[in-house]
Amino acid sequence: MKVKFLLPVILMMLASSGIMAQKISGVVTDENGEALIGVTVLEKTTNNGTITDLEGNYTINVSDDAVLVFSYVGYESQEIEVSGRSEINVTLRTGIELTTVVVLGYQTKEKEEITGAVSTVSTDLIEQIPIANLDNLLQGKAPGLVIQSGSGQPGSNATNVAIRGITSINGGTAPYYLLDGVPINAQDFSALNPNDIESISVLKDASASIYGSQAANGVIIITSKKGHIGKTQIDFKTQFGISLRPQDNIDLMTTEELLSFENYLASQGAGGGLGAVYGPDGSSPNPALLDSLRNINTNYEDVILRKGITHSYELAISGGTENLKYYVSGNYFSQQGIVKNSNFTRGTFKTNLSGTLGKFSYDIGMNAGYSVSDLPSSFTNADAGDGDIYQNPISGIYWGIPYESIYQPDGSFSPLLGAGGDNWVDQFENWEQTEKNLKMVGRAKLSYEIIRGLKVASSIGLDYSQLNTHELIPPDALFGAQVPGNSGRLQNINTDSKDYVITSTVSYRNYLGDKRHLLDIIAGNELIRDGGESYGYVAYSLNPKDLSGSGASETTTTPGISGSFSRESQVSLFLNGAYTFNNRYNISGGIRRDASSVFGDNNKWGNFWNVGASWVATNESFLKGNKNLNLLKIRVSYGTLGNANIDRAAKFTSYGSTSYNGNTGQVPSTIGDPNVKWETTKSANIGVDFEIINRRIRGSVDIYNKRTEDFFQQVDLSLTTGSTSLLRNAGTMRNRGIEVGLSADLYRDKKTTITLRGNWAMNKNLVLDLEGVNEFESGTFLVQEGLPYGSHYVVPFVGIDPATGLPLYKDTEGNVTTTFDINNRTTDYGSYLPIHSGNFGLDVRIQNFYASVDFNFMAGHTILNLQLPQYSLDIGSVGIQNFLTDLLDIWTEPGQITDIQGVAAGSALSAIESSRYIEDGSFLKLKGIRAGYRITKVPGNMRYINVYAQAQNLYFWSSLTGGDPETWDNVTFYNYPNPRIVTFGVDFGF
Amino acid sequence: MKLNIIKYRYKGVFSVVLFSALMFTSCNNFLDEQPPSGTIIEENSFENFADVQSALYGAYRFTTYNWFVIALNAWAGDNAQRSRDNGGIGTIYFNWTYNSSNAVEVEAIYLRAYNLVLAVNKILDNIDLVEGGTEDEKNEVKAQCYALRAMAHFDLSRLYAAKYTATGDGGHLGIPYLTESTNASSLPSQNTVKEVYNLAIQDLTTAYDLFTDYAVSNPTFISKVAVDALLQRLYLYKEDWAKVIEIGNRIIDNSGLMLASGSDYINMYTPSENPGEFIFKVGLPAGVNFSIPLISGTSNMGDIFAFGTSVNNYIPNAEFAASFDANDIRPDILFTVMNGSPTLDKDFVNKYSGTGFSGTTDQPYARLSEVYLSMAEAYFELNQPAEARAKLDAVRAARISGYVSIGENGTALRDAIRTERRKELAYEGHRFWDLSRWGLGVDRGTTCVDLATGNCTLAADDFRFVMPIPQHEMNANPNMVQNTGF
Repeated sequence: MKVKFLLPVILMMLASSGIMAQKISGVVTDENGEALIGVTVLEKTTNNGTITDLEGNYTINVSDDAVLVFSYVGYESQEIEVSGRSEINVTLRTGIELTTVVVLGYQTKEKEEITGAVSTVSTDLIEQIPIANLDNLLQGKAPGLVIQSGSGQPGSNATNVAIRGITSINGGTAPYYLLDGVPINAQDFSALNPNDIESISVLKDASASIYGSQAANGVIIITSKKGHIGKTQIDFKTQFGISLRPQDNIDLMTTEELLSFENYLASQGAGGGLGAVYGPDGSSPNPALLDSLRNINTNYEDVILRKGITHSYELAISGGTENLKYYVSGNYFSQQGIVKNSNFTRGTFKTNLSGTLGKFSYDIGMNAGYSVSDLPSSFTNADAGDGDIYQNPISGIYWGIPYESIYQPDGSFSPLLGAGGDNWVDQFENWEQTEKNLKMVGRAKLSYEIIRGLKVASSIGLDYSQLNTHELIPPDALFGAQVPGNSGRLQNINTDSKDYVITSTVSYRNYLGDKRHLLDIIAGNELIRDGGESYGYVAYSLNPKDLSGSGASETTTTPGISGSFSRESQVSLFLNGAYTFNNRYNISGGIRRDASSVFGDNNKWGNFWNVGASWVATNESFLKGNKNLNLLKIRVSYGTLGNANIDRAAKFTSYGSTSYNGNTGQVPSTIGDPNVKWETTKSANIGVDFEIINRRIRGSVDIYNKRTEDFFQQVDLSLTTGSTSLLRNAGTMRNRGIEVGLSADLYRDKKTTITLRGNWAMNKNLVLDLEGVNEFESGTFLVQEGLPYGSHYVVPFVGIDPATGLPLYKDTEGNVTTTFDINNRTTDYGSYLPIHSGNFGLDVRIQNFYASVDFNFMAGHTILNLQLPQYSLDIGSVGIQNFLTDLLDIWTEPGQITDIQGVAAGSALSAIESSRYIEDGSFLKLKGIRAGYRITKVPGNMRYINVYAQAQNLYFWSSLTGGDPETWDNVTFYNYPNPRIVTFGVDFGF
Repeated sequence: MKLNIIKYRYKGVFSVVLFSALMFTSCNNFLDEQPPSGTIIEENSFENFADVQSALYGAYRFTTYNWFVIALNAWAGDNAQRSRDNGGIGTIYFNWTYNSSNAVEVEAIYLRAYNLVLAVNKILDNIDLVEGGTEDEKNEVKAQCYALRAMAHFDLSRLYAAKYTATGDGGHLGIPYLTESTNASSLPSQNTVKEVYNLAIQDLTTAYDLFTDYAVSNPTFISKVAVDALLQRLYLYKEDWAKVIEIGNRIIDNSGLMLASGSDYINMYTPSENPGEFIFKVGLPAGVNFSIPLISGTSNMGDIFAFGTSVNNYIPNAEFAASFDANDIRPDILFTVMNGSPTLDKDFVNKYSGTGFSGTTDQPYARLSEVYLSMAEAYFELNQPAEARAKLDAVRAARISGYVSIGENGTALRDAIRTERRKELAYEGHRFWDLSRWGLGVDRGTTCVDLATGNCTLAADDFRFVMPIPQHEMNANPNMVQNTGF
């Protein structure tokens, strides 16, 4: 098949292969006529290139019809046709460095050739920001890329990353990430150094189809740094800073307020936990105790939170010749979280060697990192009978009772009522919960250029990661006496994953005949194997003097062991072709065939395809050179994308293990569907790229429609089958939206640029068809035809009845009732998925001084705030937690208008699924400010010194009660807030 | 010269293509899928006779649906009273407010019983295809499979269909009787109750013929005697009195079982592995909780009545508890009083105390005394009062020390047989259905205090003597017809 395809290509190439080589030289200067050192001079469409020397001179051998591309950091790139000349002198102008080359799947392309919707994230925007995890750094950086950070724990992953909306309910929703062509697990991004990244491309439409069955949620292509031709460059970067508490908008009761509130409740016969303090009539049975309580005023924010220190050191050495370019870097990054004992420490090492040797070129690289996270809480502890809540120190800020002391008079930890008898300080001082993450991503690629433009290439990539989680509750901690065996608990789980990919391609990229016809074709195959295994153990009855767990198996409490493994494989064939006529008209098309081990036996191979076209109007002769319309490009694309990230068990009819009366047995457990296949997304995109008024205003607008078919659903089965349901491909969902990216130079002269930039995306999701399946509830929301995914499903809340103090609800007929009945739930309160998202900011550069400010926003979504019912009078918790001062407005007498129900209403916790707790999730956040001074004319051997200061997560505007609106998902419950991080840094270049 | 270059270039391309081709030759193996851990692929599940044995143990695991047979007859009948401490467990059964979608147990038990049916049908599909196992060994397994299939369907019919006599000849809708393995597309429709009984009798007869020894060697597994006990119960519900007597005599004469008395009676309810007069019970080793999907918090027998010693769920009906003779041994096992916690109700049902109140206990299914009492009922219906009284007295004599025959006659004899059945089989999964069988309503008597609705009586032949078909099944299977009233 491939031979047939290659034959005409080779013939075409032969027609254009008899081109003479020619030597070109020249000098590159800036606008002031000063020589520019280290400017990259590249023959367009090839790897052939050089850099300018100390006098700005260059020499390069090229074909006589070549186009030279001159690019330099901080300057606009220029393309110049050789046209038979032997000397070409160039003047580069300062300005925004326009990204002209975009990494697109298995190829790189000139921006003008692209037909799809691809955003490139400028590394300027993410470099040096002291957040350890790449996905959190990408938040707001590309239109349509929506990231919810989930937690401010240093090094933690984002909880939701969605490109152009959610396309799956039971399948994966995360984008496909590639680092230098190697598919990687996003979960362990924290072990990689974001500063090692050269560029990031986000494929949002059918252009992602080149990744076939992995592409439905979009593709994020990360390219790490490589060496450049030239003398050795050394970059040393150091950064130091502190993390501070973010703002919050909650106001908790003081000791005085809480005691008087509890006194009132006791007098009303409410509050079971108050017996020691107040009698049933509100009088105190023990006035001495009450007095002693009055003197305690514990501030739990002070007890639980702190200022954290961040520091980072980085050394990078790069350089090389055409034969050997190298880039080596090492980084140490350490960050303390704002919750005590939450820390993150990381060391990374990166090396890349690349170059050309005759007709061969090679690229060998390794990104390795090891990180250690200390977590202040133990969310996975199965023996915590009180549930997770008491082991979350963030809840302690809210719940801690101000009249309780952390320590008893003898110095030991008090069992706090607010912590369910545990003690948060004991937890983070004595418990251990650490995650150790080792990650290595490596790739070796070799390519051979048979004739000009025709290359064969093979590469092998590996993504290895090992995650070790360690949890220890020591025997002498308060909770250590409550676990089975009453003497501590130790759990270690080790998970490793070894994924490899082998890719072989044949590609051709060259002009045919004259320069009007550019052909760019790639065909290849790929093998991917993802394997993982994990094992772990739990030990009890620890010896306080030996916490290793050794000997624990001899005790009466049996240790637990666990293990699992997984393996997935994929085989792919792909072919992508593009043709450009006269720099104006681009057409492209591609097809990919994927076979995956997760697909059912009847659907082993999936076919995915895409077509696209674009027109660069400004390259037409009638617009060329127009000063007010510098770029106008119109793009259209359409294609199919798959989601193979589906339940691996779905295709298996299986037996499971059980026992009867001490005998091990097997039973039919699940019914599989041999027809299981990928979910298919059909993606259409129309876009416009433009640059106007002497390139002062640059932007793009995209409109898209994504239709996901065959998404996975639980289809009900007759119970006589032995199963309640089966995962089947059945259902259609749509995401539609518009994305705008814009930047404008408000002011621009030789020394100063002021640029305003921003992006905005709107996405509307709709479940179109459930194929006969009834609406179903998924967590707190309802999935129903005609509703956006994630629509909250709650009983309408009217208010607190001033006459009785009871909460009033609406029934399905619109009548007001005091009865809370979940059959009255409606979907009128929006979805948790934001409709609007984006970012805007201002960049200022005045000679060597630069500054920028960044804002993020999301809007059009609602959150079920599960923290609120706790504060709407949870009578059952009176005496065992603190409350918001809002509760001082509790309804006490008829006629009183208030939001807080009276005692007679009982516990607010019994009516959580109510619109009372739905809050607008919209927010605007001042995400970052940065200012610095970069000295480039340093005496001696130094290239530059860069001094800067920056601050992250400074302020937000939001109507949500409590906490950081960025961390919230469909519900919110005591999430670790993103801290304010202020850092100072100095970079040196030699 | 140029030609040579072309050849050379072709070679390069060929070598890459060849490399790719080599990759693909192993493609089929490469894509071989290891199932996720914890999964046994069905194709590998029956390879040898040991797998069959393993699958039989697995099938028995599903007999734990009997938990709800016992719970329902306690909660919805008149032997127990909802405790004031009760946090909600079983309330909809006590108040008879279940419908097709408000009761997780209604769905969970339906699923559980059909899990058992599927498990045994899969064994029967595969048993003659596997390696190993003698003819006798295979017959022993097959016999248990047929018997378990009959048992599951009979119990499904008792739960989800009106009693056999509701239309005289059982011509009304019952439940689907599945003699073949279901698959994902199965949408069976209901058989009539008569068909269900006939198929069950057929399966039990097949089982009877396949078994060899007529003895109970281990009551946690189905034996030939257990097949007879099932048959006898089935004929009792069918009101085929002659068959009840015929099979009852076969059990008494041939099984070697004796009515337990004194400490033997007490001990058979403790985890001491004393089989006593048990013919079949669901075996649960002490300390092992069983789980039923969809039902949480109900993982052992004791939970039906109390959570440990702290929360009382159902207390003994006071009138019933007071009705026992002073010399009767049964109250020792049925009732106890806890001092201290809980705060409100201190009378406990003691039958499933196991190792303390939170312990696990085997689930009773069939005992010898039931065989006697069913025969007494049959003799009475056939107007043979002397024989009826003889069977009744045999049970009383085993339970009441110094018992002297009372010598009832007529309706007094009928009522005495019914009362004795209530006492003897209390909390073992009979009472609610016995009342139904006898055409009686539920009357919880003067000590009934309902905390929620005041329902202390359920009229005879009320539609709620039958459970609704689970809404899940109604949604997924258009061939099903919902039971009257739901």
